[in-house]
Amino acid sequence: MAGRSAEPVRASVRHPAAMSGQAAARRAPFVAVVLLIIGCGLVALLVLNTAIAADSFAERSLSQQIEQLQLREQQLRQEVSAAHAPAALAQAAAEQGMIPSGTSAFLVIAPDGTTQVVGKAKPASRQPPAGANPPAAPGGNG
Amino acid sequence: MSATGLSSPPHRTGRSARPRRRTRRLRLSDPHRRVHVGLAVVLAILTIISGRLVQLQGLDGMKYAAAAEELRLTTLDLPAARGQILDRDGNPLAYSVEARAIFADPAMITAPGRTALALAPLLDVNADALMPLLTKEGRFVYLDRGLNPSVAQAIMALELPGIGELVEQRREYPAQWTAAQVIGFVGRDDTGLAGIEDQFNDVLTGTPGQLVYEQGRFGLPIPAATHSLQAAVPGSDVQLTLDQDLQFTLEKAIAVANDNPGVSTVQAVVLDVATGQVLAMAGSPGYDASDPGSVSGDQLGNPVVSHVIEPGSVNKMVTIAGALEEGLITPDTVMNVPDHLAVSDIVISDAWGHDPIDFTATGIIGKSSNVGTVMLAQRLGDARLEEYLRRFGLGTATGIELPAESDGILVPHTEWSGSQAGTIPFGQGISMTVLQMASMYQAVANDGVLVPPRIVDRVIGPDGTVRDQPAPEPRRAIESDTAADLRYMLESVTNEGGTAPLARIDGYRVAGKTGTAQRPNPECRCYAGGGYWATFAGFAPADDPRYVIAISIEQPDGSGHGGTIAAPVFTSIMSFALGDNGVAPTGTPTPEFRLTTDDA
Repeated sequence: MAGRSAEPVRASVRHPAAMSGQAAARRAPFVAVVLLIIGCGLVALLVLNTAIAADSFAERSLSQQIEQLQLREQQLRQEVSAAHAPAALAQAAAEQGMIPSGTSAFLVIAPDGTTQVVGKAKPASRQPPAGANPPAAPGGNG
Repeated sequence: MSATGLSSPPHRTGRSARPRRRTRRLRLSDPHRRVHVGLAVVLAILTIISGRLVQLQGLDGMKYAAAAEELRLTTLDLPAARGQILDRDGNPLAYSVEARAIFADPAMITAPGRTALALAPLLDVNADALMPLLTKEGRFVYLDRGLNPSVAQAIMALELPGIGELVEQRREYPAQWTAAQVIGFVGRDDTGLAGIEDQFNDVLTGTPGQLVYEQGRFGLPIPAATHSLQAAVPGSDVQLTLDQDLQFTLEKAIAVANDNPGVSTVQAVVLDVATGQVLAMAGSPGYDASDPGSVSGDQLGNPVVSHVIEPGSVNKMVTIAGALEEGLITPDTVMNVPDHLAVSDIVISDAWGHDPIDFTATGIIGKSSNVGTVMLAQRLGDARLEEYLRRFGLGTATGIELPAESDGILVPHTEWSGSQAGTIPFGQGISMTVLQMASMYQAVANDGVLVPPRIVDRVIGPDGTVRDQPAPEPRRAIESDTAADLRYMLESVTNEGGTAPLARIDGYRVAGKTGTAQRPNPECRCYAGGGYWATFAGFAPADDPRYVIAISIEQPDGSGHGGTIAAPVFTSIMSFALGDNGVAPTGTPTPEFRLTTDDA
């Protein structure tokens, strides 16, 4: 017993070192897990941040693309509406050699299927009464 | 000292041998005291540090955080698109596009000459013209505005120091001249200055939005940081009752009429008979809505609603309407009409000399006899004549949704001079707008019910909700029978013996009335040398009217008649309106007109 009792005394003298060795061995998995979690967390955070940043770059480039396409659409709409304006149409038609028609005749279809021509169709004249003026003509008269 | 302190333990046994040394060593090596002092110092420093920390984080923390956020926060104003102006078929007459302004900060420009040379071809100006702007005092000057974004992009790609771009809106008028007087135009700040742009400015203007976000190093928004978006709300669209194609045709027709010798201006308007809606209106010469600055200011109005004319014989219709409605005459009532008649201090005479003729009432209109009309007016009386003039809307603005509409001038009959009582029946001494003139005939064409003319059909909100404009209150001007008699009598004008065979349209029955009024000479405030107004107002088809057209041709130096120069304008506009809208001739036979007792 004396020998045995001597042991604890010696052990108690060496207590801190002995305990830390055993405890460290027992805690190693826990520490590893914590480290792993921290590590994973950090990596995940990094990945997430990178992803968000990458997305914001992608978003920016896509918004720019949208903006470009919108401007292009706007330009095309502008061209269409300009070409659609009556003055532009009249001019384009005149360039094709077309002449504004005078009075038109109508084909009236009765309920019984019989047809009747109403009005007098006249061939358009080469010198239309008012049609040949270019769109800016009103200003030219000033 | 430390060396002494460290060496002290081995000498413990010789304490008594070196009493002086021991005393000094004890004093110097008291560890508690040193620890205390050290602790105090450390604590003091820590206190200062933590105090400062509390001050920075706690007390001033908000301020610094705000300042930092201020650096990162970027506010972007989002301009709201101005609403469109559409014609009745939805064709855009005015709309806004995104544009760019290019500005310079002259203080930042180190090489103005090189900058000007680089910008000149892109801005399409002379480099010399840019130099004064680039070397100006101050920190901001516009170099050009309303540019296409692609041009601005090319300029920004040059990376010239001191040159920047701003986002703005530009108003586009794709039809340019067409309907410019109705639509109006906007100023640099996108505020309407004329026409519908002015009248409906509040409706067309949107509410600008704002985007606030935190910006990182390269101007990128920081993800998941403060971000607030208040979207811009675009303005509402205004849809007019105008027909773009008819409007174009009308403008061409009046431009052609404007080429007649001595003509200064021509005005015309087309109304839909059933609804009173304006389908087209313009006065020559007009202007290009995308470049209103190129003409003088007095040309920028809408003369059809703001310019008054004396209508001449077109006004006879009202006198006849009153006489018919009061039962004084029927279309076949015969009157013996001389070629002149003394009224008060003046002598009224017909446009042509003749022996007394047995005219029917129809003949008085068909041949446009002044004397016959005045004889009828005398039977009607001034008070009733004024009442009928007012029933046809004269002397009061129509209330059309356009700025600067004129009431016209109709003096109460109690204030009529003797000569005015003699001339108002055939349209001198009374003033009206061309729109009022058309509106009078709309009532006749519409079975006696006058629907005040309107030009805005509806307002379409940015979310697509449609708000129809309140319909005008129709009011009966004359009885249906009276209107039918008048349509018959007015049809005689365009037929054999009438004053306006040129207003005839092949296949259709047309009714109308010519007018040739003396124009006051602004120099002498008298009629001498003032020239004439040639007018025409009419509708077709006469037996089922669809469109009313009124025309006025002002000729300070000409003497064309309503039947010779105004009627052809009517024909070219009306035949287009009928054909383009698929109005087939009614196919009914034209009645026989008895103008004088000599007619069978």
